[in-house]
Amino acid sequence: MNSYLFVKVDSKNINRFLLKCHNNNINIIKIKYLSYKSIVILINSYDLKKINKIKGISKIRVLNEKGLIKYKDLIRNNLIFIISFFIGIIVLLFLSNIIFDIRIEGDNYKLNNNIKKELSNYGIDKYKFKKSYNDINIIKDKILKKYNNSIEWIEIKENGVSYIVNIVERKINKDKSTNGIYSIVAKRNGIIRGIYTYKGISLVEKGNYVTKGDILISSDLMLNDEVKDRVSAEGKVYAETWYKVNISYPLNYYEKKYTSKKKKIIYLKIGNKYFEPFKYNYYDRNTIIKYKSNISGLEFGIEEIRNINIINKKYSEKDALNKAIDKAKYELKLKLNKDEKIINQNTLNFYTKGSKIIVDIFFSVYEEIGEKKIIETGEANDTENIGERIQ
Amino acid sequence: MRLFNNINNYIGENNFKIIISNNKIDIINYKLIKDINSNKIIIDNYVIEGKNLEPIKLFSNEILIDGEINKIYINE
Repeated sequence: MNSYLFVKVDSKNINRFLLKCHNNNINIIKIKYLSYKSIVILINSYDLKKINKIKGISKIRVLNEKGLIKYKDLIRNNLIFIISFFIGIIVLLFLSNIIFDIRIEGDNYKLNNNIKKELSNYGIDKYKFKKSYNDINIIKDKILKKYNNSIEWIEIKENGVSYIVNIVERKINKDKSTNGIYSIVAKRNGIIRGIYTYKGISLVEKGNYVTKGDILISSDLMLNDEVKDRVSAEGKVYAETWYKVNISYPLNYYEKKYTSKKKKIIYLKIGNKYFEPFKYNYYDRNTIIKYKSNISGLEFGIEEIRNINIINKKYSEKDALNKAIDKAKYELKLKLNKDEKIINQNTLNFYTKGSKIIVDIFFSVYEEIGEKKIIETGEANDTENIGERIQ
Repeated sequence: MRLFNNINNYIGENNFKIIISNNKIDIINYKLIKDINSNKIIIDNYVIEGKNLEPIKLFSNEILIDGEINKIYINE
């Protein structure tokens, strides 16, 4: 592509100037007369040097450019802007291809956490590169295969710089209702404190002491000491039960607490040593992006650092005992349902062993002790016989 | 052959040629411009006379002249 220049020539004798141009083989593509002493000529850019040589006392001024040279100059004058623009585009493309958030939409918190870990194993995690459509499909298939029993359907949607994962949990019918007939039996020893019979005949009363395996609600409907019919027993039996808990608790207390201070830093590391202008001793580090050279051992990248507050103290024996009791209560409560509770507690014994305190605690608990137990098949057949006899 | 030469000449513009149209003279394949001024331009042996004569294109083998052309003649 040729480049052209518009040049203004002011001369006392324009015609002589034109003749000089002609004699020096300068092609003038266009001539525009402004006055008899001034013209604007369009020439090839490489002829400008020749014109400068032959101009004599004539005044030469380049007015404008045409062709490739114009774009060259345009680029040269706006080089910083153009480079910034392209760097901006590259940064934008880079950032738009990074995952900044993963939202898992599912009702089961535990399953959600498992899926999050699974996605992380497949490279779908915060501050990692996005996956292609095909990769996502492969990952979905793998997760579905692995969690075949718990997931019905999974969808990973890309929404800007975040992924939204929708999970439909597989509902397995856990209803154990069969054609069998149940009785409700005690699963622990205890004193009956409450009994609610919906179906069947209750064989115990409040205040009765029962042992493990005793029938609490019977499936047999009796009349005059004769089994008239059998129904699957339904109901709830609450009793006071007893637990002896042995728990140990450390006398030395160490805790790492995160404060609200956190930031992202660029780091440089050789081996295990960081080279930084500031020391981050009381900070936890989490690498976001890293580049590591295996040859030189040099590593650099971006880390998120979180300020930590370390609590290191020693409990008195009394404090440690209270803490141990609280811990035992907390752990016992985790096993209880909403309608169950701890009635009473008593510390039986405690002693220190090394850096720990060991405590024996006695708990009496209000809990449901009824447990469904199926009647043997043979007995179920008997039921049919009874039915026939009644008719 | 004549037709071929005519076409070749039209496309290649190999021969000396003067084209006159609308107060413009286009002279192709000239050898020398002897003089240029607003009343007279002498190219090779050809003299162009008129008023406000201005070359508006000046190549080594072509010149286009604009202005009020009165007379063109060969100066022997």
